[in-house]
This record gives sequence, structure tokens and C-alpha cells, in this order.
Amino acid sequence: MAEVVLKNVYKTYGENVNVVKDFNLEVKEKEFIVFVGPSGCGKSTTLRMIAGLEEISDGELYLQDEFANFLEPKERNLAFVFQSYALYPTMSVYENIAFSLRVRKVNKDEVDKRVREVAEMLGLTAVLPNRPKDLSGGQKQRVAIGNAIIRNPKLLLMDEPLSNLDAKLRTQMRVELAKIHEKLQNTIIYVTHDQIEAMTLGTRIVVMKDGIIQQVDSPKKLYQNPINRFVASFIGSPSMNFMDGRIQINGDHMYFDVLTKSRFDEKSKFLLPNKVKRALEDRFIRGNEAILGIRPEKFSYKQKSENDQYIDVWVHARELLGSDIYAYFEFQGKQMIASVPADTEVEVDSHVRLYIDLTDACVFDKETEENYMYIDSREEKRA
Amino acid sequence: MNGKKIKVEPYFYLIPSFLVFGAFLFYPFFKTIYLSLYKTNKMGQAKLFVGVENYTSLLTSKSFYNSLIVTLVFVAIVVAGSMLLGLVTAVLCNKAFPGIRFFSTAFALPMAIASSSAAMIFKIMLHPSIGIINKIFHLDINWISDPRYALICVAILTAWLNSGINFLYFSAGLSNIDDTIYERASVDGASHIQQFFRLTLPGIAPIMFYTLVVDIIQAFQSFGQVKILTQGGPGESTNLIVYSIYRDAFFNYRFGSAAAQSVILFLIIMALTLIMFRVEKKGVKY
Ligand SMILES: Nc1ncnc2c1ncn2[C@@H]1O[C@H](COP(=O)(O)OP(=O)(O)O)[C@@H](O)[C@H]1O
Ligand SMILES: [Mg+2]
Repeated sequence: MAEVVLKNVYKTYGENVNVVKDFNLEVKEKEFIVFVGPSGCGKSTTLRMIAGLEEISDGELYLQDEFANFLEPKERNLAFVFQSYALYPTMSVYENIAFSLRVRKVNKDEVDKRVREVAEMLGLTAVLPNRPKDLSGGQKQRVAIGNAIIRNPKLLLMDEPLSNLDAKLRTQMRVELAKIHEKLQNTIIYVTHDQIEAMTLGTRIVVMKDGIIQQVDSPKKLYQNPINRFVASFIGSPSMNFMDGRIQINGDHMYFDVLTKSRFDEKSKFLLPNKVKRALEDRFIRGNEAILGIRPEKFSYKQKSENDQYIDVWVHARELLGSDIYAYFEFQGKQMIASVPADTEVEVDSHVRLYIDLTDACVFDKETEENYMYIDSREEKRA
Repeated sequence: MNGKKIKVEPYFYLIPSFLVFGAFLFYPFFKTIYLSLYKTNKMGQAKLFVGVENYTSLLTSKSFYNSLIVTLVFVAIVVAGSMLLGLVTAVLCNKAFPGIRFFSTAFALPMAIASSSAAMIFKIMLHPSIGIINKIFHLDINWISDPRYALICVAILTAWLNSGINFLYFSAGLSNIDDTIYERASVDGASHIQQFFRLTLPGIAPIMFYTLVVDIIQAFQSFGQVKILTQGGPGESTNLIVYSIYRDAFFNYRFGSAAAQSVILFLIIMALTLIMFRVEKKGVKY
């Protein structure tokens, strides 16, 4: 049974400001779905339409196979965790967690039992008598989650629940959220603008831009098989590097000729591997113009295979991040990042030859920015 | 600046406000206490020291007890009425709807109306033969000459007059409540009535308390509408303490007795305020 189905859903403000456009999604039971995208792309609006806090302008919403466009929020049997937590300031933590049971007139002993269970699970037992204003950010966050899960709702909606926490707490809560999902086995739809959160939490990720779904896929597939330049640059950290250039065919070989700024520049013509060549061969590419996308970890200080291409660059900064070093360099007027293992000798302000593994490179259309390398898994299955 | 010199400069800045307070607050206050211990002549000058006699004769006077009771009933109706009216109008105007500006202005307007002019208009509306109230409800009641209705009429007028500022306070209180807690409550399954009693009322409790204190003090001091509508009558049915003070002083020329009543009124209001603050410390928390 599908938990949530959205069919051609639109949200329109005023005359024709479409904040969400033609949104189609089917969420199955026990999935952990993440909506991700830059801020203002309509994630919250979509989530609020599912919760019934925002009217659906056009399209259909089904909850547990029931047409739900016009159901009141309380009839939808779901819970919502707000970005601002929305704790009731006049109530104690205990009452905040108990609220949804209280308004349903559940008997006192039952309420007490469940509140203590949830408090135990979230480490809130000590602060149960406190007011929300006396809590730290992380504790407030837990209270909001406690209130949401005490009814054990089948569907749990969360709107950027971790965005107000500091980095360390965020990582910690991320792990706990994953545990909670594991334990409660409910369906979660989770909104975030942070692609790391999306990648670590989601079983499926919905990437959005300007109110339109770009791609719905598992974290791994999104990373390996982005549908267009936006998804490719949004997913993955540090972001994918892009080079403008032309596809050239020379006999049996296919090359990517990087658009050069000055004529006497570094080597700027790459031999494309067979995988890429095959994908591009029978495509019409207007003016042969394209964009080459290379993940930072595909650069290397050492040559790993004889098919590796290379560029000579000037490294002007580096960052050490535990197991990796990010080397910042400029290539053909563009800032780029290489991510190399921490044992590499990366010297700042020095000339370096960087080897590039192009096997998994992406090639994007210059105009539409779609990825020529994208493989539609649905088509794959059908074939 | 060696710290030992007493700085005089700051006290200069205080002089203007002390002059004003002294002339209009402290001087009358102490003069009242002083007068309440004397018998006076017609000009209100203290002539004969009588100690607490003014007080003892008040405490044995039936008329004074009547004034006390009338005042308490009046204050109860006014405070309950103005709080309720202020709250209902503020809740209604808390949601955006077309014409909200008009309604907000209308609900806040009593604040800007002088009590005496409002009383004049009420007097016409309540007129037994040409008044609109009797016309609309097809009644034949002599509202302000009937001891049964006079007090209620004055109290309702006063409640309406005081509701304007309450509307403003409550509106401010309501707009301070975070809207998302209502969204959360509606997802949590609370009905609108549950939301009102569990979120809205506790949310504005602190401001309601403050309004209550101010309203009570203000109600005790109502004067203009009594003077114009009923002059304390019929009989003594609307003879509020403040009006009784006025009558004793300026009709009967018993300034001593009037002063003693003022002091008693002051003590009552002070006691009530202290009690409320004591209760508030225990009860209303945020
Ligand atoms: N009441 C409104 N009227 C007009 N535009 C709105 C309204 N509410 C939100 N928007 C617009 O809708 C867009 C999407 O908002 P939102 O769903 O909150 O984005 P996200 O959660 O992805 O950051 C934003 O560009 C915002 O300006
Ligand atoms: Mg948002």
C-alpha cells in the first residue's frame, strides 16, 4: 500500500506564481524520503500541503489510498516536526510531549506511561518538569520529536528539524533520527537544504529546484547517475567541477577540448574513455558544445592508469579534512577542487600535474544542462 | 572625579518631574490624609482636629456601606464586561479578513471617546420615549430612573468605554503568540476550542493579569458617566464611592468626610492590588 501519493500537485500564489509545479511522487510504507534543494525551492510548501497546513492549488493527494485534498490536518493521522520546533511556551516539557494524547482524552496512566517511555528514549527524563525556554537547542529539538512520535504516527513529516543546531549536535541527532526510524518503522518525509543530511538519512531523495522535481533516486544513484548539471552539482561535497568545451571526433577517438582562455595555455584536450564515447556517439550535440563534469575525488597526484588524462595547474590553497585533503586550483579561469588522500604531499603555491580519471565523468548539454551519461533505471528495467 | 564628591548634577534633571509629581500627586495625597482628620469650613479649610471621628462616623453610616456595595457590584460588572468584550474583539481581529482595519478601529475607538460625551449619547439612547433601545426591543423601561436598571446601565457603558484599551492590549498579546504553535496543535489534533483554552488563554495570561489590575483601578475611579447619567440616583442606587466623595465635598461641604472616604478608597485599591500581585506570583507563570 502506498503511504502518500501526490499526483500533478501544484501550489499557486496569486495569479500565476507557481511555487510547486506538477509534483508527482509515490511514497511507500516505511520509506525515509528526503526532499532536498536550495532554499525557496518549495520543499516546505510541498510538505505543508501533505500535512494540510497549506491548500493544494491543483492536483490530487492520497494518504493511505484515501483522497486527502480536503481533510483537516487532524484527520490525516500524521505528525509534523517544525523547523522552529513550535513548542508550547506555557507548558512543561511533559505537557508538550503529552499534548496530542491529552487532546484525544487518553487516560492519565496511559499518557504518563507513554510520555516516560518517549522521554527515556530521547534522554529527556530529567527535564520533564522544565519549560521550553529553559532548554538547550538540542533538547528543544528532542521535545519536538518526542511530541511527534508519542502517537506512533504512520507518517512523520519533518521540516528542516536539525537546521537550528550546531554542527556536532546535528551529526549526533542525524544518527539518532536514523535509529528512531529503524525502531519505529514508520514512513518519514524529511525536508532539508543540506545534501549531506539527505545523503545520510534518505532511502530515497527527491531533488527539487524552483518548485520542480529534478530527480528521485537513492543516494547512491543520485551521486553516480545525476540527471542534469543541477543535481550533479548539488549532490556531493565538495561539489562537482565543471569545464566548458567541445566534443571532437578524430578517427576512432573522441576528445573533449576545453574552452581555453589564453591560447598558449596548459594542455586542455582530453581523450574520452569508451564508456563516454559510446554514450555520446549517437547523440546530436548542437555545435558539439558540452560541459564536462568531474568529481573532486577523480583528480589524483599519481597516475593510476594509462588512460588517465592530466592537467598542469597551480594549487593556491588546501584544506585538511581528516582523511582527505582538498586542493584548490584554478583551471581555465574556473575555481576547482581536487580531493586527494591525506597522505598526499599537497604544497600550496606550487605547480602540480593532476591526473584525471574520466571513466565516470559526466557530460552535460550546454543548453539544457541534461546529463548525456544519465541512465534511466525505469527504462532499463523495461528493456 | 574622586568618587567622594556628591554629584549634584543628576538631581537637577529630576527637579521638573518632582515638581510635577509634588504638585499633583504628593501634595494632594498628604493633604487628603491631613484633611481626613479635621472638620472643615465651606472653603475646605481645616478648622477643628477630630482625630479618627470622620472614619468612625463613616464606618457606622448606612449610606457609606451602600456606596461600598454599589461600587463593588459596579466594579465587578465593569471589569468582567470590559475584559470579555476586549478579549472577544481581539480574538476576532487576530485573523486577517477583508475590512479588518475598519473593525479594529471600531473596537479600539471607545479609548478615544470622553466618558462624559459617551454618557450624553447613552442618555439619549436610553431615553424612555425617544431612545433607540426601547424602540428596537419594543420595551417601555425607564432605564436610568429605575433603581433596578440604573447601575447596570452605567456599568455597561463603562465596560464598553474601557474595552477599547483592553482590545489593544489583548491584540498585542495575541500577536505575540507564535502562529506555528497553532499549526502544530492542529496537526496534533486539537480543535479550535481546545486551542483557545490550552494555547491562547495561557499565552495572554500575563497581559490579562496586567489588564485586570489596571481595569479594576480604573473602574473604581469612574466618575463622569455617573455624574451625567444618574447623579448617583435614583435614590442612592448608583452612588459610587467616587461620586459620594464628590457629593460630600462639593454639595455638603464636608471635606473632612470626603477626604476620609478617599483614604478608605485608596486603601481598598491598594489592598486589592497587593493581593493580586501576591496571587500572580503563585499562579500565572510563563
Ligand atoms: N504566502 C506566500 N505568497 C507568495 N509566495 C510565497 C508564500 N509563501 C511562500 N512563498 C514562496 O514560495 C517559495 C517556496 O517556499 P518554501 O516552500 O518555504 O521553500 P523551501 O522550504 O524550499 O525553502 C518561496 O520562494 C517563497 O517566497
Ligand atoms: Mg523551508
